[in-house]
Amino acid sequence: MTKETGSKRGTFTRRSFIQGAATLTAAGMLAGCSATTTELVEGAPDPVKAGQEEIYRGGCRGFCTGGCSLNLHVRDGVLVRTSAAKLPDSTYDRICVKGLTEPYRVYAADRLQYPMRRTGERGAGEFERISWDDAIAEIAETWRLIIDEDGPQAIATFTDTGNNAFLGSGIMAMATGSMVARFKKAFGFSALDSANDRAATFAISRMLGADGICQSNEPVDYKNAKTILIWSALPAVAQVQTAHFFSEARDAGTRIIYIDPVFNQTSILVNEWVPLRPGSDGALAMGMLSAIMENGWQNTEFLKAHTNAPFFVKEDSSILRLSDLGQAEAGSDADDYVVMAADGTFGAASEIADPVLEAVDVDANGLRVTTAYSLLLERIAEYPVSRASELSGVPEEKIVEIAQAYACDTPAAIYSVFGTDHYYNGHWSFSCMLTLPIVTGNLGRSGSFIECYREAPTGYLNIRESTNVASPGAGPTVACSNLPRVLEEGTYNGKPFKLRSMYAHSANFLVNLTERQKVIEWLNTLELIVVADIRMTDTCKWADILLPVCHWFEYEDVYGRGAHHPYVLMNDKAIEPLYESKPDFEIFQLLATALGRGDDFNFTSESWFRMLFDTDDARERGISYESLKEKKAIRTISDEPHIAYKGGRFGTASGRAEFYIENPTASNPFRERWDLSKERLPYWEPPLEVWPDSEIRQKYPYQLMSEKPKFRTHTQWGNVEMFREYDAEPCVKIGVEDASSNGIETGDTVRLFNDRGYVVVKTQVMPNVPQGVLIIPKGWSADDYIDGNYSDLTTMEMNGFCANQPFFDVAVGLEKMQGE
Amino acid sequence: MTRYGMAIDTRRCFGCQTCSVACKMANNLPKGVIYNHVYSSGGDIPDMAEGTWPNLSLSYQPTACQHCDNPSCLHVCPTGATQKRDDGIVWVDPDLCIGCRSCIMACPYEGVRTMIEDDPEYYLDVVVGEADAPQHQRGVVEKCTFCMNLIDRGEVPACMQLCPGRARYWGDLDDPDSEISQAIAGREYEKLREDAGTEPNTYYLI
Repeated sequence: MTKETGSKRGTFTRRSFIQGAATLTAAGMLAGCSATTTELVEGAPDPVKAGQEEIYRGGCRGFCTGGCSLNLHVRDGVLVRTSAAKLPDSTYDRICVKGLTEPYRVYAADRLQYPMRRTGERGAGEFERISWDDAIAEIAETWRLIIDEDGPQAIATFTDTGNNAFLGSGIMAMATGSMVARFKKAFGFSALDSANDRAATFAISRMLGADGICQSNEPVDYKNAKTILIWSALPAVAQVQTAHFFSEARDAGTRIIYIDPVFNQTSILVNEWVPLRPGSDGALAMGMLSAIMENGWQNTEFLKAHTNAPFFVKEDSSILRLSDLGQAEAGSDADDYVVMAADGTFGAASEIADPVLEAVDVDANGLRVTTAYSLLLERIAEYPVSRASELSGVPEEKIVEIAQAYACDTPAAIYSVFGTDHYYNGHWSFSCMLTLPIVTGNLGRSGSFIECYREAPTGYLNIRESTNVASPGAGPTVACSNLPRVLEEGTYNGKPFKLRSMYAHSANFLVNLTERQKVIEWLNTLELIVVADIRMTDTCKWADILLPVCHWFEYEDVYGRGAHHPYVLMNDKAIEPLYESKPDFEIFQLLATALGRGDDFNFTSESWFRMLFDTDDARERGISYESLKEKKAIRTISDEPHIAYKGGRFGTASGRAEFYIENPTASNPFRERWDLSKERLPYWEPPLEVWPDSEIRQKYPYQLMSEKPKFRTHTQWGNVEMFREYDAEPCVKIGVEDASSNGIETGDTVRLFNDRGYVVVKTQVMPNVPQGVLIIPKGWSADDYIDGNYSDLTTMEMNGFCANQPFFDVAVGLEKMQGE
Repeated sequence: MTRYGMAIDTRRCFGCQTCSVACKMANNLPKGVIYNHVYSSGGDIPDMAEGTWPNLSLSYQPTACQHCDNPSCLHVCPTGATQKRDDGIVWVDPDLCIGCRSCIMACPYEGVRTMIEDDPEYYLDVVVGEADAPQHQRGVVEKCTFCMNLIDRGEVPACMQLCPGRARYWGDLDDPDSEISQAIAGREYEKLREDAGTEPNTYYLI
C-alpha cells in the first residue's frame, strides 16, 4: 500500500496564504478564515516537494540573549518554519520554543497593517487608518512647532530591547550602530531610558571595568571550572541556551551549587540547591567573605598584584599617590598609586612587587592613611558568619562550606544574571558578591569568572561614522522612573527641561516599566505620542499616531549584540514586509526627510553596513557586509575561548580590580539622595519593601516576584495563540503553606493588591515557592488578566545612587475571591 | 535489522518544551493536538516539584508514542490501520482508520494518541511546517510517527533536531555504534509501564 500525501479526500481542505496586500479585503483588514480572503485548495494539492524551499538566515533577537541564528524556510514566499542553523562551533547551535514559532508572529492577526491616528481616548485602542504621507507629515509638523517653541529636547526617543539588531534598534538608550542613534543626534532629541537591569552592570563596571562588554568567559569554558555558583539566576528558563553548558560541566565533574530563593528547574542542571532569603544576596556574600578571611582562604598574591587592596586611602577618601609624598607632579603620568614595602617604606605600586596588605592609620608624609584592604576587613567584620546566616537564612555550616568550595576548589565561578539586580539594594548586593572573586583571585583565567551579563564586543563597529551628523547638541537621557519628578520640577541636571512628545519603538513600556499608573500619568502630559511596532501591544493603544513596523525577517539587518555566544549574525530579508509595514530605519529616514535632513540619512541596509564595518578592527576579524552575507555567522573575538580580564587586567582607572571605589559616580542625578559612605566599599542593607520586618510588610505581607516565562521574551510572543495550549493564562504561584493558611487550592481566583494597584488571577499551588513569596510570570498583557494589571503593583522608586527598576521589591496583600 | 527508538537523559532535560513545540510546528498540528507532552514529576502544573519545602526534586518526562515492540494498539485495531514498519515505527494509515478509538483505549500511554473529533482548526491561514507533514482529518487517530516523512528522506525527526538541553537521542537500537546505543550504554534507565508488556522503545536515562 503506497502512502501519498493528501490522498484522503472529503473533509480535507488546505489553505495557502498569498503574500502581501493581495489578500486584504476591501476594508483593508485581513479577515479570519474567510473564503473571500484566502485561496482554498480542495482535495490533493500538487505536492510541494520537500526541499523546494528557499532557505534564508535570520537572527531571533528579543533580548533573551540566546542569540539564535535560524534557518528561515520559505515556500512560495511564505515563511513556513524555522530550524537551528549550524554555527562555526556547533556547540553553540541553538533554538527554542520561541525561535520555532516565528511564523506565528509573522502571520499573527494583530499585526499592524497601516499607519493609524487615534480617534478615541488614549488607551482605548480606537484608531482610524491614515496614509504614510499623512502620518509623517503630521508628526513632522507637530515636531517643527515644538522645536520652534521649546527646542528639540522637548522631544524624546524611547527604545528598549525589542529588536536587538544593529540597524533596527540596538539596545535601550545605547542603540549601538543604529539609525535611531543617528536620528536622535541629528536633531538633538532627548532620550528616555527604561533603566532596566542596571544594578549588576553598574557594579561590575566600577569594580572590574567593562572588558569591552564581554564581562565573563565564553560558555565553552564553563566546564573548566571546578566549582560554579549559580546565584539568583534562572538559566533553565531565562538563558535556555546556557543550560547544557552547565549540565555538561556537572557531568564532567564540576560541582555546581544553585543559590536561589525559589526551587525551579535549574536544579536539574546542578548538584545542589541552597535556598536564600530574597534580597539577602549581599549579606550571604559578606558571610562567605568572613569565612574566607577567618580561615585564610583568600588569594594574597592576587590581592597584591591585581587589586587595589594594597593602596592607601586618605581621610578625605581619596587614594594616596606619589604626588601626596611630593614624589611626582599631581595628575601627571608618573603620579602612580602608592603602596608600602615589607620594610615599611612607601613607593610606587608598579615598583613594589610584594606590598603590605594590612596597615591601619599610618603616617604618610603627614597624612593618616589606611590600606583599602584593612578597610575591607573592617567592613567584613560587620558580617560574621552568624549574622550572615540570620540575614540570609542559609545555615552557618553551609555558608562556610560554600565559601571553602568557592575559594579553594578552584578555578571557581559565579553565574548570576539579574535576580539580585531586581531589588532596591541590587547594586549593593552585587558589590559584595563581586568582592568574592576579587578576594579569591577567581578572575582572568580559564574556569574563573563572574557573570552578570555577557555579550560580544562591538568595538569593531564604526560608531563614530554611524553618528557623524551635524547636531544642535545632545539632549539629555532621562530614566523613565525619574520623569514624574523631573517634569514637576521642570529641570534636569540643573538645566530647564520640558517634554512634549515621544517616539517609541522596539519597546512595550506600558507593560515593562514599573508602576504603570504613574507611567500613564506622565504619558498623558505629552501632546504627541508616536509608537512604532509590529503588532498591537498595550503601548500601541496609547499612541496618537501608530506606525506599522515589519517583522525581523522582512528586512535585512545584522545581529551582534545581546547574544550569549561570540558571533555576529546575518539577518536576511526572507520575505516581503506584510501589509504597509516598514523597517524602523526607513521610518526614521522618512521623518528625517520631512524635517529637512534627508541627505544625512541616505542609506540602504547594504550601504549602512558597508559604513558600519569600515574599520581596521572589522577587517582584521574578517567582518564585512560581503563576508556576512556569505558566511552568515562570524566570530567577533579572536582568542578562543574568550577569557574575561585575562591575566588579571581590568578596565578600571587603576587597571586593577577595585573593591574600594575612589570616585563613586551616580547614575541617578538627585544629589540629596546620594550617600557616598555606602558606595566606597562593598555594602549591604535590606531591600526596600520585601524585608520580613519592613513596615510595609506589616500591611502587605507577601513579596510579589515575577519570573521569566518560557513562552515569551518579555511581551514578545504574547500573541502566539498556540502557546495558550501550554500556558493558558497568568497565574500566581503560591507555596503550600501560604495556600493552606489562606484556604486556597489550585484554580482558585485571588486578588493581589497594594497602594499602587491590584491584579486578579488564578492560582497554582506549588511546593517550589517559599513561604511569604508569590510569583507571577512576567510579560502578560492587560487583556490577559481577569481584572487589574500586574504592572500597576510594582514601584517606581529607584535606588538613590543607581537608577534601576526594582521589579522584585514589591509587597502585596492577598485575598481569595469568593465564588470564582 | 533497524529498530528505531528514543532516549531521554532525565538529568539533562529541564522541561523547556522545545521538542514538543518543534513537533507541533513541523507537523502543522491543529488546535488542541500535541503529540509529545513534557510532564513535570511533581504533578499537573508545569514545573511543579515533588516533596515538601525545602526537600524538593524535579524531573521531566517527554512522552510521545513509544513505538513499542509489542504494541497493544496493533492488536486491537479492527481495520489494520495501525501498523508497524520493519524499522519499528508504529503508524496509523488515515485511509484505513475508522476512528473507533480502540487503540486509544488499549494504549497504556495516556495522551500520546489523539482523535480529532471535529474538522481540524488552525491558528493561522498559512500552512506551516514540513511540506510533507501529515494531513490532519476529522475522525482519524493521530500520533507521533517518529517523523517518518523526514526519516524516509534522510532527515532527523523534528524533536531531535536540536534539544537545548542536549538530552534527546534517537536512532537504531540494534546498531551498537549508533548515537542512541552509545547514550544508553553504561547508563541506568527506566521505561514507562513495563508492566503492560508493550516493550516500549523510549529509554529514560536516570
